[in-house]
Amino acid sequence: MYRYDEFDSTFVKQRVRQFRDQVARRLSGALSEDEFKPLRLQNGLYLQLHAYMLRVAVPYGTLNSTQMQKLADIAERWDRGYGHFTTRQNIQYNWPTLSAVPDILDALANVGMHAIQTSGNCIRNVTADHFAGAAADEVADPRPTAELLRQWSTDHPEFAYLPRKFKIAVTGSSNDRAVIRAHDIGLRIKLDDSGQLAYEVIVGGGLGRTPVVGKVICSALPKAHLLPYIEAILRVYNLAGRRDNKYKARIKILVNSLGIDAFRQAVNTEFQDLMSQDKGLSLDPAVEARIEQYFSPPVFMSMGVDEKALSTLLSDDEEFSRWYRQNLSRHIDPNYSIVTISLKAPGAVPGDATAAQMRAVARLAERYGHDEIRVSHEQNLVLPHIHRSYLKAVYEVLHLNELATPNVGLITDSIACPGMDYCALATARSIPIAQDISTHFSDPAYAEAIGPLKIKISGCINACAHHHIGNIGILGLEKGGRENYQFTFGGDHTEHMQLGERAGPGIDAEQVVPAIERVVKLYLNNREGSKETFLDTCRRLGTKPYEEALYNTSVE
Amino acid sequence: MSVTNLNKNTSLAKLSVAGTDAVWLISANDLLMGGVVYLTPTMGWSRVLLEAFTVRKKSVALSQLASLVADQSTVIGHTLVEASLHADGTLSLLHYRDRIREGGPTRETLPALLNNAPPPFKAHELNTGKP
Repeated sequence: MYRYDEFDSTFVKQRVRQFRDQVARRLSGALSEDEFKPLRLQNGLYLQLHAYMLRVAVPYGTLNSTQMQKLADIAERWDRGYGHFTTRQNIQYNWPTLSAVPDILDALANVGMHAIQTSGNCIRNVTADHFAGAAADEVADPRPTAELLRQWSTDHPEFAYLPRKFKIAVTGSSNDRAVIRAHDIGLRIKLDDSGQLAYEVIVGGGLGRTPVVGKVICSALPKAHLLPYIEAILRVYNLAGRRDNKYKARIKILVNSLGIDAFRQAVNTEFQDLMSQDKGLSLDPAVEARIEQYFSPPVFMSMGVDEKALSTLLSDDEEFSRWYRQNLSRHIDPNYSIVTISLKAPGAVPGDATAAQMRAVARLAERYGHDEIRVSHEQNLVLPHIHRSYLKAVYEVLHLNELATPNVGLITDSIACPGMDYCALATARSIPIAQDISTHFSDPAYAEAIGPLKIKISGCINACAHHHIGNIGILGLEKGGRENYQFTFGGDHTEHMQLGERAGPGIDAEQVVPAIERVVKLYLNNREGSKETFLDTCRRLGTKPYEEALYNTSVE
Repeated sequence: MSVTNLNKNTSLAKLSVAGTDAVWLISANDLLMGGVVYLTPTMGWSRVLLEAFTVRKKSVALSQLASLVADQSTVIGHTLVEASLHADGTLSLLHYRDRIREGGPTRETLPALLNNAPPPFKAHELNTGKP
């Protein structure tokens, strides 16, 4: 994985020193809150309901064991013993004091991490497929592209004050695990007609109060043109994006108002201009090679797997067997598996991990996992390279640390934003809804029988939990002074991205789980065989039956 | 007022408390700790809800708020909070958002989290001097 060079280290350390001085001046009164607020936001420090919150970037969701150990140390030393992994592959600390933040940033800098550009109207943390470099279905590892974009966008003077925040995601697979169509720019690495690596560029996606599925602006961008083309998109947006109304300031609004063809034309004009004036923006092969070498695959062990022994272990241990079926994905090397570590134990807060759990994952990565860990946008952790001979040993450690819940992709693997339990923007709580669902459906056999089902729960219209693209989406609002939960059905977060259909009026919190139970029963009674997923059934029957089940309390 | 006042299993709603006086409080977040504080009768700030200065007229509270917002030397994020004052002098915060601000997250998380948690935010850690 990428390691800071001298330039990176110097830059990040300098930013920490600057922020330490800014905090000191704020506390002494030399800086007003109006002056200080943009400075703290540029360093990822928010004020939430009952405390500050520090959002730390995990670039493209990749960590090594040393970094994970440091995240655990920070949680224990300066926070309350846990951290919250988010839907943008970041980690948030919910309880730091203002005076502790420079020390936290210093600790992060020591392991090549920071919180820069995790807030504000700038290009945020570039995210990527959490199976990058390991997935069997990958055309190319998306992390070198994400790292290139990270270097290009960090402290980019022209794009420090965009009309609104700007999010980029990259995948190297046709199976989209990075929700690229819900980003301001989504990139998919593909092979073009001549067999060369190229990018499908998608623009203007986003959720929030105006959910939009991104549109293809360029179907096969030559790899060398990436930076000038992205720069051209940003330039057009920076100049033409609205600044008079923050709710209409995202690039999706601009793309929709101009139309994708006119927007493409404006970008192409800017792109041609950049190419003629500044060829330096084209990718230098030496830079490309230097970045790519950081992401060379680990040296995988050539030893095979004793399939008979593994089979015995699986038949002797039902829980291990269920975890094996549910939490593993196919690795590029058949002797290896990708292990997804669920942070969704029954009753747990989605995405929360204790310091002890972080350390357990770090030790597993170090001992068995080629020192690599990933954070997924679905608020789970991933060990991308585990030799299949070690699966039982890894499982045992995860089990001891309450990290072996066999529910990846199932009904209890919900995404939930912090909601009103923490967030100053929230209109209702989302965590308790997720906890109720995971408790109610905690029987793993029942969850497995239901099969793939994505529930996504947001505590406000900003949609941090991507509720529009959940198979079942839940949006917490305030109605008449009371928490109220509105449902959508049929959303899809994959490469076939589709926004869910909104049901009728919202319901109270205590009605949510019974309503989901009715919806699930309807699905189980109507699916055509056990292979037909909830979403398939939704597409076949339409969402109307689900909407009726939502309100039909007479069934109980 | 504590987290136990929150009904954890049902939708939270704005309270309507019969037989009580409607009052307004001024709240903010402590600059250093970020925790919730309330304006006291001596124009200081306290973590303790019962020490909050109560105002019966919203217009007076708004005017008080406007005069305080300029001074962000020890607290930030000033806001007006609606409450009911009971005969025994206790207060009920009416909006659920304010009750969560006061009581903290409404659900317990993993047992291990609680075991590792340091003591909760304490009033004596605050700057309670006059702003």
